[in-house]
Amino acid sequence: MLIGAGCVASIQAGVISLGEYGAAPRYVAAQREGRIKVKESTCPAIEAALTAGERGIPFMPVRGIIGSDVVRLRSDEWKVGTNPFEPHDPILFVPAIRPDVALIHAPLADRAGNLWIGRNGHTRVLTHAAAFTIATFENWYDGNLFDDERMRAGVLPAQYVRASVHVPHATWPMRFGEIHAEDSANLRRYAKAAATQEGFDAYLQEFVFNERKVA
Amino acid sequence: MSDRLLFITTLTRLLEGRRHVFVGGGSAAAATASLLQRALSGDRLQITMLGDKRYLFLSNDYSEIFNCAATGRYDAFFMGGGQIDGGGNVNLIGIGDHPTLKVRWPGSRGTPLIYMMIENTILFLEEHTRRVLVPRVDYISAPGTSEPGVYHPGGPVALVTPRCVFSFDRKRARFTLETLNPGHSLEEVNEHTGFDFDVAPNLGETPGPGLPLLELLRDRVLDELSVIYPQYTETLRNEVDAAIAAQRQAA
Repeated sequence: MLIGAGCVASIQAGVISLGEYGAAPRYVAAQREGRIKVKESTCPAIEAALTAGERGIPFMPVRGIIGSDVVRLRSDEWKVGTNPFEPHDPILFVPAIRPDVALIHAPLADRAGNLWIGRNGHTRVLTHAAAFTIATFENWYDGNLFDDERMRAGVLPAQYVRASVHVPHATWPMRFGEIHAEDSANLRRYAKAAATQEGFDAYLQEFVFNERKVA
Repeated sequence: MSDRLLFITTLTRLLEGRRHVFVGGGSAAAATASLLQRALSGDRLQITMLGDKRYLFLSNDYSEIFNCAATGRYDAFFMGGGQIDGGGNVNLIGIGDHPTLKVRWPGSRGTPLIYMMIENTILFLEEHTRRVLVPRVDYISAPGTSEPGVYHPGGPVALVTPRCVFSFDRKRARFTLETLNPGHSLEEVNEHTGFDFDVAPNLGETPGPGLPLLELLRDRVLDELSVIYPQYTETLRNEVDAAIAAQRQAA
């Protein structure tokens, strides 16, 4: 949707689609018309780059991928090098990603500013790599999340979080874990509307700018 | 026997003897085959499957799947693609020149790592045409084989289509036509395949499922499947019932 709204200059991802609802039409159109720069990638390379980012190291080796055209298409940034401990083992190195900001939605927040993200490892590595995080969250947690051993392993500590806002069901119409099912009718409507820029703009007007309340 | 049932039972057969299969999301036929092989194996086959938390045995989330693949914890995987060529290379990127592309597919996902790391990948396509089975993929998302020296323990073992079953020889980087599905011919497969392949000297017919397998599918697997793919399960149930009735009548 950010692409459709003209807010994205460049993107890298392993996959961009509407899942069961097919291709992401605004992304496809923006790439075809040259309005965004698409850095071809693959999920484990992004994961590795963010891991380097969260550790403050310049790069990370990652298995496989050599021989994929993704490497060729990213040859300005990625390097195939040699395992320093095993000279006959070529391996891909990807540079660290340090995002300026990470945007997430979390199930819980406490008054001390801690968020609970559960076993969501993507969110953990992304927020650790980013300079700071801005979050929305589903529910307040009574007490401090660090006080309960069962919750502690899933906490994103307040030190990573610049701001958080209580917005229940902020992922609508997408599903949110096991808390909210997707709004299939609205997603179908979105997929259809987004087939054209006009349809997308009308959808944006109705559901984003007008903030129409949805049950 | 519906084409889809034969497709599923072929995928099931190819999983025989495996320990732990990884199944991606939105892949109902692969999910069905995995659940059926698990039932056949006396629950010895472990399934890690996207789309349902009951099949995600992970401390973290999806990202851990790449670690499990790279450390050899899975020994089977199902994968499709927008294009597949005779070298087992798979394209999930698109067609035409980068950066604008003529056809844009969703992307390579984790396949550049997973396809190279997991042994015994079963390629499967629901369309067998020259549009999909091409002489050379426009983009290699994930390579079928590598130069000597590149760490590449995984790779394809088979390619299953609605017309036939190919095996893949990683040393020669070539497919061999092993069996034809009932009602399909070598001429037809040649006509609709864009790459060169070998033909097994004992080219036979793809074996269909017997009554016990169909009953196992009906009595156990469809209920497990319906939790993840409810709509798919209902249409498949009708085909299973019809196949069982037909086999009983023939007997």
